[in-house]
Amino acid sequence: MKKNKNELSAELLILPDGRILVQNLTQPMAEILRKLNPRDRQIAPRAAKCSPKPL
Amino acid sequence: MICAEPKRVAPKKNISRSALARERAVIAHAALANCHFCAHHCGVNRLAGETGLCHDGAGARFFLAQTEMSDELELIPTFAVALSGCDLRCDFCITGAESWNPRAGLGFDVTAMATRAKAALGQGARTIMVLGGEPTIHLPAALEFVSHLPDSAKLIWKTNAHGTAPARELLDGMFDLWLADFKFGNDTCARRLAKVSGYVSIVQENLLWASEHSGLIVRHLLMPGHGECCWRPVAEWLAANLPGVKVNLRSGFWPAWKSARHAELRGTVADGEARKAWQIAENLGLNLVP
Repeated sequence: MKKNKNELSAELLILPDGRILVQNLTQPMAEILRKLNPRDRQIAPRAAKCSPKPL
Repeated sequence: MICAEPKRVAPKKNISRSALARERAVIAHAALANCHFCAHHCGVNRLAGETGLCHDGAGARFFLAQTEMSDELELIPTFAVALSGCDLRCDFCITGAESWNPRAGLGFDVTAMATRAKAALGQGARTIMVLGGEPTIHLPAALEFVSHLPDSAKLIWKTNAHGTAPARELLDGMFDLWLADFKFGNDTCARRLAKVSGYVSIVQENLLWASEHSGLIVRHLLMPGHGECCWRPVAEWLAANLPGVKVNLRSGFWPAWKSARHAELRGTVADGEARKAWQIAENLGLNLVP
């Protein structure tokens, strides 16, 4: 649970085989994950939809 | 005297969505006196403090409100508002602590939340999504929230599709798109994993209605060990009864909450199992969306 209403919250589950599962993917987290793996087919199109200014 | 049935919703008039939502929020609030929003049909008086299977009272709370990117590409960025509490008890619920507890989170101030939602739209969000838990149990608050939103906003109703005809009547015309889960392909798995009876036919009824009254995307979260018993019948029914409907097959099962109660839910979906599920979708010609 977030500590205050303006705090963003995302959860990651990193699996032993290197896969990363995400719950509540926020824009900042999408950007981070894209940098980690630019070719990820789930993250790349989502990160590309992030607006230039943080939401 | 408590009215046994919610008042009949007036037919659509030439009034704005926000105005209609305001009227319906009043009707929905009165209906809490004999709650039949979900298919459990508890019939409790939530206005008097009675609670049914969802344990929810008359007020709504929320546990998350933020702009997210994890939903379907055509919907994101979406400003997601997650209301606490749910009428199902899925042991694998990714937000179990908040979904099983309607008192989790913060009080849902519809005016303040609408201000945040409008700000998000102004900053690039394409849609506003109301979810849970399960938002159907919070119809009065959800409708009041809609009444504070611009009529031009694209609104998404993210639901477990376990609502009733009276609930659907109140929702008619309020949301542009239903994003509906079809979690289980048979009633036995539904009863074992989510403690719900008669699940399949209720969800099917809701999906058929939604397909005729709004946009619709059906989601299925592939569960480990449930490709044949759950995904296949879901996929076959969709292909036969809602041909062309958008389907999002999700394979990122996460053994959360009380998943460990069930041996098959203690891990994630194996690659081979996911491939087989995609093959089922392909063979049936499902309209998969990312």
